Amino acid sequence: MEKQTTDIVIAGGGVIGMAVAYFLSKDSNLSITLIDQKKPGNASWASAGGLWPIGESVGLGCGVIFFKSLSKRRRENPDAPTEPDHPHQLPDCFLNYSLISNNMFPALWDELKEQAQVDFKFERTGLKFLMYDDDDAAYAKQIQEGIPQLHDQLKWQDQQQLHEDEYYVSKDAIGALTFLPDHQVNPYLLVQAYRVGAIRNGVKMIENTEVSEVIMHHNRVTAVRTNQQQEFSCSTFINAAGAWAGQIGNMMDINIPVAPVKGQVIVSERLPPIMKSCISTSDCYIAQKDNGEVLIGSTTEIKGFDTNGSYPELQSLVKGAIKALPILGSVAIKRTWSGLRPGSPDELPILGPVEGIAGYLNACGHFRTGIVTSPITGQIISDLVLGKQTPIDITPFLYQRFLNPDFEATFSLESEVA
Amino acid sequence: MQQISLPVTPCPVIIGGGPAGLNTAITLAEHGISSIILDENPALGGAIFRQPSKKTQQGHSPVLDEKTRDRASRILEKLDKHSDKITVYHRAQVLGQLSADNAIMVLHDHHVTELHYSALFICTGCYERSQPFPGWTLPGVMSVGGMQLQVKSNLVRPGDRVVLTGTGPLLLVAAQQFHDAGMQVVGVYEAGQKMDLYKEIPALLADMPLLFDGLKYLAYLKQKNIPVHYGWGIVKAKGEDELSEVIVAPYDNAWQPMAGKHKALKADSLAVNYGFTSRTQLTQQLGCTHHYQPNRGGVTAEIDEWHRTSRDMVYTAGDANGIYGSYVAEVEGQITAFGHLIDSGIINQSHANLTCAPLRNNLQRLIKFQHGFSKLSTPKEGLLSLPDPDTVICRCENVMRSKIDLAIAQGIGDITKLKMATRVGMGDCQGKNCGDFCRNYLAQKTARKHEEIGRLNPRFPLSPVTFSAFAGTGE
Repeated sequence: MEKQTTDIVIAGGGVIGMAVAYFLSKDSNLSITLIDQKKPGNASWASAGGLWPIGESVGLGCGVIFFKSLSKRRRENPDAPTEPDHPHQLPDCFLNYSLISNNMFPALWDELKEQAQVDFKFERTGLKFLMYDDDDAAYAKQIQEGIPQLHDQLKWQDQQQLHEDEYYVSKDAIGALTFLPDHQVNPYLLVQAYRVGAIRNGVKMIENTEVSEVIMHHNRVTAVRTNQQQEFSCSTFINAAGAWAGQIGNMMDINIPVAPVKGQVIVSERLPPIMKSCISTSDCYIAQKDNGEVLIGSTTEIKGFDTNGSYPELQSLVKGAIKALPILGSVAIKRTWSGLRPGSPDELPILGPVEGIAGYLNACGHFRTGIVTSPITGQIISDLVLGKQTPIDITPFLYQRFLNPDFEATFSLESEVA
Repeated sequence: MQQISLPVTPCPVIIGGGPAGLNTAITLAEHGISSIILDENPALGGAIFRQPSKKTQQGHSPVLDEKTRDRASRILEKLDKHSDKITVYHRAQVLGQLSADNAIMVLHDHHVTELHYSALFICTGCYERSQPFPGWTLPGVMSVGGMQLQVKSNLVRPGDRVVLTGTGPLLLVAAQQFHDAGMQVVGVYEAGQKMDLYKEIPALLADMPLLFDGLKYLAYLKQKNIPVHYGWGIVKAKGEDELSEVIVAPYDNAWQPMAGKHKALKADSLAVNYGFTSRTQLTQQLGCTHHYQPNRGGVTAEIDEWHRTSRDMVYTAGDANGIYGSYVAEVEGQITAFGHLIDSGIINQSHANLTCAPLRNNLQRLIKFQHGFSKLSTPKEGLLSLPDPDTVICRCENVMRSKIDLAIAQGIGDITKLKMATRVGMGDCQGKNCGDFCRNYLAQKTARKHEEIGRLNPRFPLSPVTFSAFAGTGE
């Protein structure tokens, strides 16, 4: 066993672990060691790179498959109840958290271009919810009513305005509701930018290595061991292990309720620009990336750590994409893949300390929104380590909430979602 | 063209109608087993036996030598004899496996079909290693096989003055074919040293007829005044909009071009082949266990003596499982069929052992011969130094060497992270072309082992398919 001493150990080299490493190394002179094991399904490598704080908070974007819009239910079953759906809206604390984080991107983009010489391709696109019929329109209306504080961040378009804006969108779309602050980045380059920035600030990267054991002494984490026979004594251990965060929790005998939620994604060949905004429909989301590829996602499946592609699910995404953008019919699918979102039962992240365990911080459970919430998560964890005031109140995101007898799960990690 | 009609009960499916796949199908048919061959080309035979797509007056390609032509017609006659048991689909693309076990997705005639199999034989052959060097993307620069394909299949002449560089006996064969097709062959530049060839004479004597073939090619080139230079290789290709000049130089023992000894050759075509890579995208996508054989085609599936992979009822044979050439592929195709006959209880192990004993003897001799050549022709590290900083490495994504160098300087040490940071291998070919160079370059620059560098996992679909075909709404 090779023994080393460091101030901080971070488990996980996805976007959250890297953001924490970057922010903490920028704000302090602590010695920081990040341990990462590449695993099939890493969500940051599978991400679409949407920065959709409003879209995700109201159940669109990556969460769209969560529930079926009325028009979709009627298509499948003409006898479906006729009352409109209620948008699946996350609490205001989450909307606030993700909006503040989203606002950090323009400055972060400049900063990392300078500090890391990596351009993570921040693009101001907006996110459009496409409406195909009156049911979709009624649904969009409800979304608007659920977020009165953000009215000036929304834009309605009728069919004609939509087509002036988005030439290739299907003539079947009757209009769109645009979320103006929802943009996109290249997720891999974002991770790379944090990573290079962190390395320049002195963070040590231990790659192709897995945390195998967490050593506790009197309810305090004192060291972390790896499967490469290393032992890192540390004063703080940060769990940013994504879909594998629960396994880290098990090493300390705490049950961190994070479980993999599979999402399948399709990407097209490179195309000249065919869309200005990112698009969400009740079937899928669609985003054209900086290199011209069009990315379509995504399913929401509880299949454990399985990352295999499946025909019916991919086919339904493909059909949804052609419905929104008929031009895609003649375009080639280049690749498909799936990622494992780190799902939590209330769809909120799990941040900060756990009562009764000293020297340990959670930075996990980011579900569908790790990319957009990475800057604020990095800042919050850095502030917690350094004993500073965090930019927002993290009480709703503490692990403690799961111990409350009134805790209610909105998302069942055990059962298949419709 | 007919759509794929699904058999009532799943039958063996053979991917690739080259020497390995055809022999598998024929051997199965001889034992009463029906099978399906999926081949991506308009005609069977694989790269070695491919017939011209346009009929010539002679009815065969004038540039297939007599011996190859005889081999091709022998095997196609056998296939004909068993046509009731062998269904062939031409222009069929295997896209890979999705969720269903024991099924592959096939694109054929604009339709995507989920084809269930009782056994899967992956006989996908190999492709030429792509070797980046300055100017390699200029029009006029091609792989040797690509140029052969033009000459053989389409009967077009790629240019007037051709230079061949690379390694291995293919260069000699191609030089003769190009000459016969009316091109002026400026010279053949073989990277291997002549001394190394002499050292391998005992191994090469293992197969007298093959050795004789080689000498015949050499004698032919000599007779036609086509110079063969050993220990020489490519430095760069030059030209404004298309190739006009090829720079070659003597190579040192590591195949690094010697400075100050460059020689310029006027040419409008350059054929390059620095070896082959086994085509293992499908075995990889299926999750078979693989290992790395640097001199034998790179990453290949681990197999037993009957060519069983680590996955039940999935077999692989021929160049797809290590580069040994078409003679070996023919024998392996038969052996793997016997493997399946054992596994499906049609014949017993001892019967199979007896029947295959002469095949295995033959195989041993052929492989010994091939090992002799591989010592001469194993690509060496010096080739990694050929590209300049502004040479494109990944042609799909247009990634230059300098971008890879920057990523390495930023601490990247495995192929997956290199892909995410630079987009190498993210194009249509999924790293089929640049993957090998990138892995070796990373290993060299970071002094890491191949296991640490990792490999690019091929994703579904293994070749592009349109949205409408996949949705099932396609024309």
